[in-house]
Amino acid sequence: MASRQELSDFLSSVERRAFKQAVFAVRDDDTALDLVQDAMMRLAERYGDKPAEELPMLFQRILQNRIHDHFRRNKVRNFWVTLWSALRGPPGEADEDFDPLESFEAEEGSQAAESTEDRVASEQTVRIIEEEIERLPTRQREAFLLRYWEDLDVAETAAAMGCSQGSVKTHCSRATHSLAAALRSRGFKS
Amino acid sequence: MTNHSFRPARSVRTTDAFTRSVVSALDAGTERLPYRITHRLQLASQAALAAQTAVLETVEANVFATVHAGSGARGGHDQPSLPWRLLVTLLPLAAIIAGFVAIADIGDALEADETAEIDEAVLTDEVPISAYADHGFGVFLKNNRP
Repeated sequence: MASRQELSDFLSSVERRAFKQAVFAVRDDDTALDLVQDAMMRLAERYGDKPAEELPMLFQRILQNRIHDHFRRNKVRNFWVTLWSALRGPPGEADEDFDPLESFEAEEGSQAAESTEDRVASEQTVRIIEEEIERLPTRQREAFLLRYWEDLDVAETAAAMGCSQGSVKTHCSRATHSLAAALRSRGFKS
Repeated sequence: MTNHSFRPARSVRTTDAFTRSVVSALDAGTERLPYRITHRLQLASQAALAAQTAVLETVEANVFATVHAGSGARGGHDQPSLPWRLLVTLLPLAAIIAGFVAIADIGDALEADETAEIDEAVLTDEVPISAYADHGFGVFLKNNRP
């Protein structure tokens, strides 16, 4: 059974990523906060007596279900078309030689030395990547984030998504290729 | 996540390097969340912890109640014991069966009394009992009926 401290540590470790996952899906901060809070409450109320090692998969499953429920309640919302035009700037505007991923080339510990310019570049990179993550098809985004960001293994990801392990691999592969292609088109060198 | 394990990723060449770079960028994004968001997330965590505490207390209370209910069955006052509940259930049934038996006995006794009265009347009559088997005596009684 997860102790109060274990649950507290788990929630602290996952809350921000959970929020971003929800934002990627619903694209609204307040709605995302509500979804994360609902997922946390449900985890605590229904599965608070589960072992600590089961919490990540359970929480992700709950969160994904909450997000899906949200979309079921809001079927008319079409969020794919608008963001593409809103967020994508005019082509050729970016520096041809600029590679956004270079802002993440430093090893841990060297971040303190980053200049304001580097910081702006880094923030821009983060924003671009988050935009492209948002644009991924829902299942691909879920698989990619659970597998690589939440660091769940294939079986846990499949359990959290409610699909087969083969589907997880397919979604992850497609998401990675789509994301790489999208980032190349926005200035990442390949 | 507070771990900034940014790794070299000058280009998108391999999936591993690429995904590591993307994950690092995503981690960095979580570090830049505004206070409004982080504060609400903290409140949500606290609410969830309070909910877990409440659930665990409820579970413990239920376990405690179950244990005491078990001891109550062996002589407590919270819930009637099993023999007592059986007695309460079976007693009305036994009363009904006893009633039927009593009614049947009383019916048999009344029938026996009635038969005895007839026998007594026949045996104490002045007319011999063999007369009632005689056809002529039967005709006589029929003709002299008041």
